[in-house]
Amino acid sequence: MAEILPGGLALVLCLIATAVFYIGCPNQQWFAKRYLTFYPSLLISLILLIIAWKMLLGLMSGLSAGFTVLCLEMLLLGLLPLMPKFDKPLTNTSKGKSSLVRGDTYTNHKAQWLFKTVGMLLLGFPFAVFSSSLIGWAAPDSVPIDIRSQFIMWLITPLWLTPLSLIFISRRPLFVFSAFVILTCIAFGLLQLVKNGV
Amino acid sequence: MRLEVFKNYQQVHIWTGILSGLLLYICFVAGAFTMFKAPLNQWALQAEQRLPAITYAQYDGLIQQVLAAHPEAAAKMTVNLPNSVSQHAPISWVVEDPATHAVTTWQASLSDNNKLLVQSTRLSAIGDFFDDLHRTGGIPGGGDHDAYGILVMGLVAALYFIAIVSGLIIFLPTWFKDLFSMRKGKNSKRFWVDFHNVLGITALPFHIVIAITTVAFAYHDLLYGAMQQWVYKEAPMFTRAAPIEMDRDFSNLLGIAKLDQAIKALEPKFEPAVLEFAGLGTPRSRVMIGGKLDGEWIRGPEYAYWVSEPYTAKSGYSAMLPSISGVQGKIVNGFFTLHFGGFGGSFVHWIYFGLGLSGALLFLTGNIIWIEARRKKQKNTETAEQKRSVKIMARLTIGVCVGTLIGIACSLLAVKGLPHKQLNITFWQQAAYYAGFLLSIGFTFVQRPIKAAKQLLGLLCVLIVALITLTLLDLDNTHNVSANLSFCLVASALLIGFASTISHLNKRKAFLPTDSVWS
Repeated sequence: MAEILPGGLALVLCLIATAVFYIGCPNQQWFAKRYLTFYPSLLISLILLIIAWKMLLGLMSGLSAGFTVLCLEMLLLGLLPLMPKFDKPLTNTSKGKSSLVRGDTYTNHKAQWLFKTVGMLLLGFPFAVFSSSLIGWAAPDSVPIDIRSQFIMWLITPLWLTPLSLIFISRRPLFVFSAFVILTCIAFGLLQLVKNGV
Repeated sequence: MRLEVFKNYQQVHIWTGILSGLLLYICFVAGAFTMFKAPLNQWALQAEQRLPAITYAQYDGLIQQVLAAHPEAAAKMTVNLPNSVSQHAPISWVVEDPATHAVTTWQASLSDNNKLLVQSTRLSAIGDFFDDLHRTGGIPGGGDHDAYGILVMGLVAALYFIAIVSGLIIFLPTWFKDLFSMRKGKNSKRFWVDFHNVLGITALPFHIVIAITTVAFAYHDLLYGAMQQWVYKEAPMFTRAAPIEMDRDFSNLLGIAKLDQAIKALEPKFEPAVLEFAGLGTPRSRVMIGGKLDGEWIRGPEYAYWVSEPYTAKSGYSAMLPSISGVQGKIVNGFFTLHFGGFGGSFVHWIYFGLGLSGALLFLTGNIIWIEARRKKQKNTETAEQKRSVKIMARLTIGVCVGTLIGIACSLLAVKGLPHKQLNITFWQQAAYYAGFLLSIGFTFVQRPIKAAKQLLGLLCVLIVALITLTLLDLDNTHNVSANLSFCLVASALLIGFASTISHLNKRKAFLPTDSVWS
């Protein structure tokens, strides 16, 4: 019971915070008239979330409580809009110009799927290994070697996959690849310096 | 944003999504149930698989008695303390036949007059089976550490990460107009895109963490290999405890109170719950202690871990403990705990259960959008012939999505309904899952999609009712009360959800256009 009460109250507060935030959003589909504008609703919901976080502090550390509130918000923000009262948003938010513009290369543009994918897959990996090692080695010597190696291993994946995901923005993949080769060389060089205690 | 970039990323999102969606659906559904791995294992226990509980003070004596009577237990033995989630027996160990690799689980406890009670048993460990399903997507083959399914899921998770980034990029130009919008109307694709956007955007950080951690879980050997070759070279990546010269007779093992003392000196709030001894009597002897540390950034879904030498409690591997690991260690622990949802006890497990199911819905809606976008619309009186790929994907989507749930329900039913003592229950729970899963997919190819969906959902509801009935008939007032009641509660909630989906499909059927892929 001692655990259920603060957890339950935090859950209710998060639910109210999500509902208040949703009501203040221009695309809300619960009321014919918007009773709250965006910023006041954001402020109220943030205050409620801080109270919910405080409630959870009795059960868990501050970091865990913060992530619990975040996870709860992710779940609730995904659920509440799925229960609309109206068939479409009543505020017209489709005004304004689209941010999409035809680039100079629109008509003769080539996607270069294979070139970009394979190139970034191959060049991104050594970049990720050396740059994550550099970040890992930059930590103080007091860090145990087990933690350092695990930390480096965990950083490789995001550093490898993020450039791979973003390469399709590029119009000049060769330029990006060259930049990655240079960055990898710099990371490698700096890593040697850091490892040798310079 | 340039239009060509937007279109490129639309293609990237479509293809990475469609290639990974169904496997991710299976993993997310199984992962949601894995949140209750330990309670499900408890729920599956049958009366004869339980041995009497003992007091904390009796454990040292029991360990010595077991090792004297069954020295084979020294290779790998699990001790469940009174506050452990698993409560079938105080001690258990597994004996593997070297020729057939068949494993037998042994359990031990003490009788009222302190006599050793030992029995062999077959535990279904249904929660562990769902965990396997979650890690492999149900793809069989390979060992436990390097199962083929894990390697495939690593690749799928990489595609999933790219799908997340590309999804975000194509959402950005219209985010103000589309955020939280749910537009119902004649254009059903619009509704499904809105549904997909709401689920994807709101849970974006969760999906990023799951994708990244899955790739690292699958390919950590490869990544460590690259680090060793290119960065560490001859230098060690992990500490290896120097061997200690001593008499490793079982009688020299430290008592549980001493081990507790040793770990509390490092992590004062650590409450040991399970001890896994390995290689006792050999220089490689070790004990891994799992303990409750609710609300901290722990490594496992239930417990924090500490590894030590069971004769001296020295040279322990404490890098996994939150108080000792520092900022870098906290980040490493964070990757684990944010994947397992272990940072807030059962409260966070419930949230992760919901996020797992909402993730599964994200992949289902993604597939529906793919199908609806490719549907050929009927012009005038001419009947539109749909592409074969669209027809196959529509059937696969229904088959895999409902089939996964039917397979899970079948395996639960096998575990609850079949006698574990007489049968190889781990085989039958797997057979029940694959039979339910594969027959459901097969059924969608011989029946019209909408009808198949309704009939399969109907079957699923029947299976859930049977599960609730069996659980209530087997209700044991002395054990597992909370596990049984929680099971009935979740099953009832899911039953209501599936029944209302059938009723919704019945209503929708009348409005389905004749050129619909689903009709």
